[in-house]
Order: sequence, then structure tokens, then C-alpha cells
Amino acid sequence: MTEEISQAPPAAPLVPAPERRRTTEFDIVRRNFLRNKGAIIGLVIISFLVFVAVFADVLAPYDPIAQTRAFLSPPNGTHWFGTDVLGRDMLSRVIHGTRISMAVGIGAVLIALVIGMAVGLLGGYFGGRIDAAVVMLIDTFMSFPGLLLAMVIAAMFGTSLPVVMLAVGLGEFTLFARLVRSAVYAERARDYVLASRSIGAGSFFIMARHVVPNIMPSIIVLVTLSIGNAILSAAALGFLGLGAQPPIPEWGNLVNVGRDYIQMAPWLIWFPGIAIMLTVLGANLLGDGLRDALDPKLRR
Amino acid sequence: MTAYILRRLLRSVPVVVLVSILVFSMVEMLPGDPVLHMFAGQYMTAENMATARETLGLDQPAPVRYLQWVTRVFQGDFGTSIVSKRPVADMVLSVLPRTLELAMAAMFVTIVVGIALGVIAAIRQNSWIDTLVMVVASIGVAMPLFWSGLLALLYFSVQLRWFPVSQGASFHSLVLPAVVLGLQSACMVARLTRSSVLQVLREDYITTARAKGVLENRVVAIHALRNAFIPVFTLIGVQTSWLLGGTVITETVFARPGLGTMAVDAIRQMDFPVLQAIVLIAALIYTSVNLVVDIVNALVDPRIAYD
Repeated sequence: MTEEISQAPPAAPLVPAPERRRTTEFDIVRRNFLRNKGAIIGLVIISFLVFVAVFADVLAPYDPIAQTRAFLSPPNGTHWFGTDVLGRDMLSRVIHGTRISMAVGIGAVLIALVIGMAVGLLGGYFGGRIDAAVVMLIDTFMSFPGLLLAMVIAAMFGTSLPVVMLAVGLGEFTLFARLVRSAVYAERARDYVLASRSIGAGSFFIMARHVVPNIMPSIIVLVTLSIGNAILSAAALGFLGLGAQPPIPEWGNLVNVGRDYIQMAPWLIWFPGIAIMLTVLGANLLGDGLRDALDPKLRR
Repeated sequence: MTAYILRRLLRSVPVVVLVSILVFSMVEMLPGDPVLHMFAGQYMTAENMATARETLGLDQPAPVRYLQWVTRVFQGDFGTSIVSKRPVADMVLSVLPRTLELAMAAMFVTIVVGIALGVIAAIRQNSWIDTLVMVVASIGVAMPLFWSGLLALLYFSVQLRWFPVSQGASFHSLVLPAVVLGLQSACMVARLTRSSVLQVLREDYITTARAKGVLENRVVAIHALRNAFIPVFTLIGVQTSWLLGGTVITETVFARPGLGTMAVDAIRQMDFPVLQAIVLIAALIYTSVNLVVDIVNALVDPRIAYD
């Protein structure tokens, strides 16, 4: 199993380049990533959505909360995604929703990452009783269904976007805590940690300088894969009326409002749902691609 | 093995205690005054309010109320609903079977469809069927459950009339919600089963078996699957939590009575005792399912017990 890296085909160019450069780790990762069709599709989808989120104001043909008299008009030339019950342009609402879902997804994962890293480093590095307490904490949080936990937190602190991020983040931090804990646990027994300690490096320095960079690839993969889940959870909260409140065009919330007109105007459900699905699919494909590219065990 | 099982049992005790403390304090931290909520719109003097607090035990400090609460919960008494005034235990028990049947039917779909597709995709790796399964599974995982549920309800129940729209207690009305919930979770399980089987198929002992001339079907069925199932079985344990969360959405979409809809109502109406009971029960179900999963895993693969 340890010899697999050498099995990767040599990266020497067919025509010798004028300046010979050593094949770096980054080259291998990039080549593996670009060879993966799913990864490319994921990258394209996410780049597109980030573009839409950033330029939502320019791209949206109408004001997302401006009401018109064209109530519930089906998709047509002027309103590509139709209009809702207040005559608001659905395309503009879905476009602006991209910004909200992306922000909530990324925010929630960052919260999960910070809490999870702190908890995981604590347990994995110090071991013993601290680790036992950390494992107990992780086990406890894992035993609540994430959505139920998020619902209670949303009810506790009100339904604003930062609360949604916190609610979703607290439901996901256990993933990061577990990953970091077991990785640190494995790393701290390595010789380089001992060597570092023997020249007088402190615990915090060793973790920040050596241990964390070593587990970075796994963290990057988990972050990407978690964003999709976070967006799904945030949308579920929105659908239950416990997330972003109207008139904010949050995707889950759009589906919740459209639900009352589902027979008359199914497009109110279809488009926000497709937007959620596309975002989650993109994030997952990107994450899978990164995992396959970064994980040396899968290189063959 | 017995030692492992005992250790595993002991490990879940502090978790259950911590869960109960967390459930209690979560609800303590909810904003809003239950007494005000209870007598909303009624004429109340300050003395009436104080008496109501006393009868509800809300005048005691939190740790005292926690101990009282835990003691009563152990006796099967979850208190009285603030909204309906009925005993919470009765309310929960009246809908618990509906949620359990939904979760179990969905789990059945998950296991049958998810594992079958995952194994087929793995043994036919890189074939069209593998590609198809993985594309469908990737899309399925990305679909929001409330969305697929609403669309299924609209097209299969309302328009095609294949399934009843209203959620009676019949088996027929269980099918659509269980399939919607189960298929999404099957997509997750299929992906994991595939990679898990593929990983095992690369192991040296599989090559050995093939070299010895063991038929490929037997290699897969006897040698590979047994080891590949451990991560899958573990995922199914974790999936319990996802399914319980999923029942909240599925029940809401299909307007189906159950713990999920009860939890949503409890949050909207600030009905603390009901919420406490539901969150606690969900966590306990998860903890016990995973206890069983870990023990079965150790029985299947004794190496786990020696870690």
C-alpha cells in the first residue's frame, strides 16, 4: 500500500520543456483533479453559482421584492421562472437566493470547522481525560438528529441568518471534531512531533506549525463536502419556517411559500428546488473530486 | 467480547446523562414565558401568575428542576403539555408508532435499494450501470427532501391518484412518504456501499482467493461483502439520526401525524415539555441503535473489540 505513489505514470512532458521543473505534489493533485469528469462538472457548477451570487444585483432582471400585478404568471418571456403570488419575479428571487444560500452554507461550515477543530485538537493532542471528555461531547451531539437540533436552536435564538448558520454549524461540527481528533491522534505519535518537542517547541506551536498543515487536505475535502449538507439543512429550516424569514428570498423559504399554490403554480416549487439541488450537487462533486485527487491511497 | 460489550454499554451512560442535561437546558434557554403563553388573552393578576408558576414548578432553580424532571422521566412522566394540557407521555406515545413505522419502512427501502445498487455498481465498476447508479445517487443525495416530497405528493398523489393524499393509518398511505424518505437515504448508502466494496475488492486476500480459482461470484458474495458491510452497517447506524431528522420533513410535507410534526408544532407554540420529550426520545433511539450497531460490528469482525 505504501508504494502506490510510485505507480502513478511519470509526468515528464513528451516534448522536453526548456526549463525542467520537478513534479511537485501540487502538480499531481491538479492532474488527478483535472482527469476527473465529475470534479470538473462540480467546479463549473460552483464557479457559475459563485458568479451568480456575487453579481446577483446585476444579473437579476427585476427587484426580488418588488411586487407587480402579474400574480402567479407561469414562466414566460418576461418572467422566465414565472411570478409568485405577489407578482414578484421568481428568477430574480432565485438569483438573490443564491447569495443567501451560499453565504449560509459557507458560514455554517466555517462555524462547524472552528468549533470542530478546537474540540478535535484538544482531544487528539492532549489525550487522556481531556480526550475522554471530548469523545463524550462528540457522542452527545451526534445523538441528536441534526435537523431537530437546528430547529431547537433556531427557536432559541430567533430566525435570523447568523442564527441559521449557528444552528446548522452546531449540527455539523462533530464531523470536523472527529476527523481532526483522530488525525491529530495519529500525527502526534510521529517522529517529527517528538523531534519538534525535543528542541523545545510548545504544544500550541507544534499543533499550528506541524500537525494542522499535515491534516489540511482532509479538512479541505470535508469542508467542501459539508457545504452541500449545510445548504440542505439551512433550506430545510427555511422550509419549516424556522430559517430566513420572508421577504428574504431564501430557497427553502421560497418552496415553503410556494407550497400553498403547488397545484396552481408548481413552478414556485420547481425552480428554487432545482437551485438547491444544483448547488449541493456541485459542492458534492467538487468535494469528491478533491478527495480523490488529494488522497494518495486512491492514486493508481 | 463480553468485556467489549460491557465497555461499550458503559460508554453510553455518560452520553445519555449529558444528552438529558443538554435537552433540559436547551429548553430552559428558549425565549418566551410559558405561563404567559398558557394564559394568553386571559385576565391574570400577579398572584395568579405566581400560583401558576408554583403549580408548574417554574419557581424552583434550574438544577433542582432538572433533577425533578429526570426523576419523573425515569418514571415515564414527561409532564403536561402547556398547550393541550394532556400528559406529554400520552401525546408522544399516541404518535410514536406512526413515526417508527415511517422510519422503519424508510430504513427498509434504504437497506434493500441502497445496498443492492451499491454492490451492483461496485462489481460492474466503470460499466454503464455503474455510471448510471452513481449519477442517480449523486443527484438523489443533492435533492432537498422537502422538495422531492412535495413533488411526489403533487404528481403521484394529487394528479395521478396512485396514493392517498390524506395520511390515514393505512399501509397504502405509508408507501409514498417511506419511499421518498428511504430513496434519498438509499442514495447515500449506495455511494458508500460501492466505495466500500471496491476498497475490499482491492485487498490482497481477494487476489489470493481469485488466484486459487474461487469463482468470482463467490469471491464477491463470501469473501468481499462480509468485510465491506462493516462501514455500511455503521453508516446505517448514523443514518438512523438522519432518518429521524428526515421524518420531521416528511411528516410535515405529507401532513402526517408523528413526532416530527409534533416537534414542529411544539416549537411554534413554545410547548417546552413536548419538545423536551421528543428531542430526548430521538437521542435515546439514536444511542440505542448505535449501541446495537457497534456490538453487531464487533461480533462480525472481532478485531474491533480489541482496538
